[in-house]
Amino acid sequence: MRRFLTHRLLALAPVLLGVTFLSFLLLYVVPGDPVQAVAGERYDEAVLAELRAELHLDDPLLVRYGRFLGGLLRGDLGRSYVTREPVAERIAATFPNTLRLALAAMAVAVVLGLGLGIAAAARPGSWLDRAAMVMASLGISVPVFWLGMVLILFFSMRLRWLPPSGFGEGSLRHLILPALTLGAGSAAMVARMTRASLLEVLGQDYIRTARAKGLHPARVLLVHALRNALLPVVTVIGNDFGSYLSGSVLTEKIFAWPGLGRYTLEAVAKRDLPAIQGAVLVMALVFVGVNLLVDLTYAWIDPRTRRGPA
Amino acid sequence: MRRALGHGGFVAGAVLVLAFLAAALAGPLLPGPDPLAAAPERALLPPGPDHPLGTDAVGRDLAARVMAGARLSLLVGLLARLVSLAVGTAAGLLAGYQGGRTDAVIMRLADMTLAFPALLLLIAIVAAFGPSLVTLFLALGLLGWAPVARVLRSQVLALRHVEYVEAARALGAGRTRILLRHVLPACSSTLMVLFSMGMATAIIAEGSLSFLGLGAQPPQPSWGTLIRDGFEYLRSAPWLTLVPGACMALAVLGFNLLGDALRDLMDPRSTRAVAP
Amino acid sequence: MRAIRPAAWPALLALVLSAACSGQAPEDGTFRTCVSEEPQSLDPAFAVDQTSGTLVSLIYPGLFRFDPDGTPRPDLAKRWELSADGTKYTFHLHADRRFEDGRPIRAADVVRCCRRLLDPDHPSPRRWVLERLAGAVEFRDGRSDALPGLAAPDDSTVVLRLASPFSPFPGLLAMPATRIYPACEDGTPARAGGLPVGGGPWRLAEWRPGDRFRLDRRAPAAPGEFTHLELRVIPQPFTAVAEFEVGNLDLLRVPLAEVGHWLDGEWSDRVLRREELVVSYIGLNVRRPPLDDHRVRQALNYAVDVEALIRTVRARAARRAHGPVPPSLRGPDPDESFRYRPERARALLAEAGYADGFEIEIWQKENPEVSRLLEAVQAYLAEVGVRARIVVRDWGAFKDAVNRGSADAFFLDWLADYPDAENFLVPLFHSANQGGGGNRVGYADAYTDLLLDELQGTPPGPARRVLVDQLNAMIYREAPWIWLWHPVSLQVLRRGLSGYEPPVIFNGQDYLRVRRDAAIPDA
Repeated sequence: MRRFLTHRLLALAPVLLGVTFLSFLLLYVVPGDPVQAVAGERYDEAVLAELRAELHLDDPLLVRYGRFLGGLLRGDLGRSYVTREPVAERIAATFPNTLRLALAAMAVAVVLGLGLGIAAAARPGSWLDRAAMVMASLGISVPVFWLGMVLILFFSMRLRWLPPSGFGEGSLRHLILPALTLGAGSAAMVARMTRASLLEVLGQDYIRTARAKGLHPARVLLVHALRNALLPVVTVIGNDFGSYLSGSVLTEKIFAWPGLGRYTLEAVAKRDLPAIQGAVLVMALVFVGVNLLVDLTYAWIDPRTRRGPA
Repeated sequence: MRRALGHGGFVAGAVLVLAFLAAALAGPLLPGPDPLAAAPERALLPPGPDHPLGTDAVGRDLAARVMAGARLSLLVGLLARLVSLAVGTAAGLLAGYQGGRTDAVIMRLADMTLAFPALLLLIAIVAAFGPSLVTLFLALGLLGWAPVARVLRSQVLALRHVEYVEAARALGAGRTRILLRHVLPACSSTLMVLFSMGMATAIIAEGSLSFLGLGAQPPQPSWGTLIRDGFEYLRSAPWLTLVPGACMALAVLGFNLLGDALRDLMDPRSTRAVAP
Repeated sequence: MRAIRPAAWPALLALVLSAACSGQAPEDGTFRTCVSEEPQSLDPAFAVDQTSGTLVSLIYPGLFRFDPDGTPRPDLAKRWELSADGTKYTFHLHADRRFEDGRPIRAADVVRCCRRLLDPDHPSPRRWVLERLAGAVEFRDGRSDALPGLAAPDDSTVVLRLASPFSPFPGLLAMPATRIYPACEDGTPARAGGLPVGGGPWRLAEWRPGDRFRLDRRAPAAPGEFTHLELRVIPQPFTAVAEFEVGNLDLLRVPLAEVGHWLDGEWSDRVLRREELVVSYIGLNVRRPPLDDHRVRQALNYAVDVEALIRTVRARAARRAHGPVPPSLRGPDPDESFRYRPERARALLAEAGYADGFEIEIWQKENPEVSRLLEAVQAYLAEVGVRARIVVRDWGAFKDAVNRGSADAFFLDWLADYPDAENFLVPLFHSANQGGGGNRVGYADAYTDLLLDELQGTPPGPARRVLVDQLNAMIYREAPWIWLWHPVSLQVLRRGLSGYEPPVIFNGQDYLRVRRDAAIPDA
């Protein structure tokens, strides 16, 4: 197990390097210039050149990337081209909010998804199965922005149960609608995956043996089958959790949620490279971390895979 | 086939998918209003005899636009999904079966793809190359390969030591043959689910890009842009967003039902599981 | 313990949630409104976007401050004089005005902040605001350490001398760029606890990035007036509507798609209309054929039914533009008007040698309202054979293309920096301002330049008005833009509140006079 961990931690470096270099490269290819955001709607052309020089934007790509890496080694993410504030400060302010939203969405996905999936697999073909799967289909067939706005319309404007947007004072009430919006898609995905893999596992010999031994069906389902059916489900949750951190962009925009996604979106629009780099780095780190957890969970659920990546 | 026709989910899914495909393909052949012909004087008409689904904010026939939207959304979804599945399957099979260095490299690449915020990557690609149909499905398709590869790899890992694969290997079958003849078929149910769910994901991803204005280009409609544009008029002209929204939901439902049904029908083990 | 019956759960849930969500306006004297974006910078020298400009104008004082109707009103100065030749402004400062840290605001502070705006070591994109000061260009370029146009003869007197007369100058001194602030060693605005140390009507008390700003009132409050101001950052217009309806905002800008709903519904008596000092246009890049031919540009103007667009996509919330200058800043509309005459458009195109039309790209930044407009324009242009392709890009790519002049045509708004016709003429059409200076269509005409130069030195009066009307009419006929409209903003003020007047310039509202009416209880 220790070898497994060391191996994964060593693999982290190339991923992070690759990701940061990719964003550097992309920003290089994409048209647009951060100093135009700094300059506003009316400026003399000379000031652009001066601003570019001040921000070292005319240096070659690799020099700039090298400077970024150098800063990174000193633990410095640099300053935003546009706001001139340290990037790390803003990330520290927004990332916890996004993490909070992502965790809540994951809770929605696991509770709702596993529940529906198990219910459906318990009696395949029943009305319960059908209803659960129709719900799951609807869950992923609705675009996030649409779902978010409908939830606001219904629960906030009509019923007045929940606040439409914002972070509030960090209360749970403000978290419910965005978490539902963000988590609905993966809840649906988890429900379907759970059902599919449960049914697959239920058909296998050892389960039939367990059944033949006269074990209670619920016990067979929950103890023997579910453990093995969890593999793909864990993968889905692992994948989606990573995507929540970046994919929460739309949810954050609709719910005016002060998260990292919106910060990054604005940074992209303004080609604010240090801000983008910092955000991408944090998201990648979290993603890699979550993956590690997923793989450990794999190894725990199904010891066969432990031999895999060695 | 008889079995398929007796399967309620299959029939319902196939009917839905075929209906939307037919609408998408036949749309341009049907006589009717031009989906792109704006006429501000006819703006925001409620559904009526001239315009069965009403008109949008610049006076275009919504029915015609929903049909045209079907074409674009389904096409982008389909092509993007094929790209994802082709790349993802190849990578997943190889990584899972080969193991070692190949596995490590492929999985690190997958990590990188997944670790990079997808929406940002899409925005950047679209900003760089312009939001054309080709950009859209290639970008969406290439972003989708990594999850496919990972799910498949985990399947292959579990299958690698299954008796019949070991037997085939003992009999001296080559790698390609084992992968294609023995491993891939065993993953077919997973692939079906991945395809049907992935179609939905791709269609919706296009919708998300539309929300950021980087999906289908005006005046060409996609369901995503129609839903987004219509939403602003939810209180004055609700049909503008409800109709394309329902279409998207039904199409995705169709793909899901079809995928589930195919899975039930093609995988003998799951049939046993379904049997009482 | 007995379990709660399942049927009771929804009711229980509703109870818990509704108890926690009152939706009522708080009675703590906070006026709540919203902005759509994070500010880029609260440093006045870099506050170039609307949100930054709005906040900076609330936090910091200046020599002038805009009234909602756009008049520059003296702020730090209790009195000011302009010399007979129109170049020397003398300001006598209030003795009792202080920064938040308690330091009195002196003439030296004004000089320091103005100097920094022009400092070559810290290039500010807003340095053009003070470039008319005597010696400013030499100072800006590092050729001289002296800035003779800027002087503080004593603690309470500031003298600004211009190189040549420029009558809109007080407006420039009401812009966000010319706010006065206490500074750190390096000249940047001082901060305490991460927040700027101001000296204006409001003190920034709390800033949660991406979420909200809370400001406390510094100016004395009469009974009913608000002592706190909350600015939520809400990017999506729909979300702002929801927050207003639930009761969490006191002021709402009505989105175009909802105009009917608000004008006809229960809020109709609360809707405030204001024609803003803004012009919306489709710029035609006159450097690129066939748009270099004025007949082609005129044809495009005849081809688009702007009146119909105002009735439909603008929901009547606009006044048709006859030239770049808003009607309130000029005389009567020019005589010859581009009414919707497609046959005239076809004739002009044929005359120019484009009887079969041509293809152009119209660029826009991502925005559904603009997409709807351009789709309609596209249909009108198709009627006369012009095949327009709409190119939607994200903000960065759009701005890049438009500033570099690589787009055929593009949709943009121009917002007034200060209420003067000059602000709608010189930056937008002087050949020296091509590109990022404002003249993004590349308009270059020697005679126009001559008149524009003359306009800048002409004092207010009949001669200036004639010049403005002449320029406006001339440019109107040359048609470097497809002339669209001056937007009318529709804003809804919560019942029971009064004293809010929508500003014609984005930073023209200081919220000091908004009040809760005692007589009418909050509905």
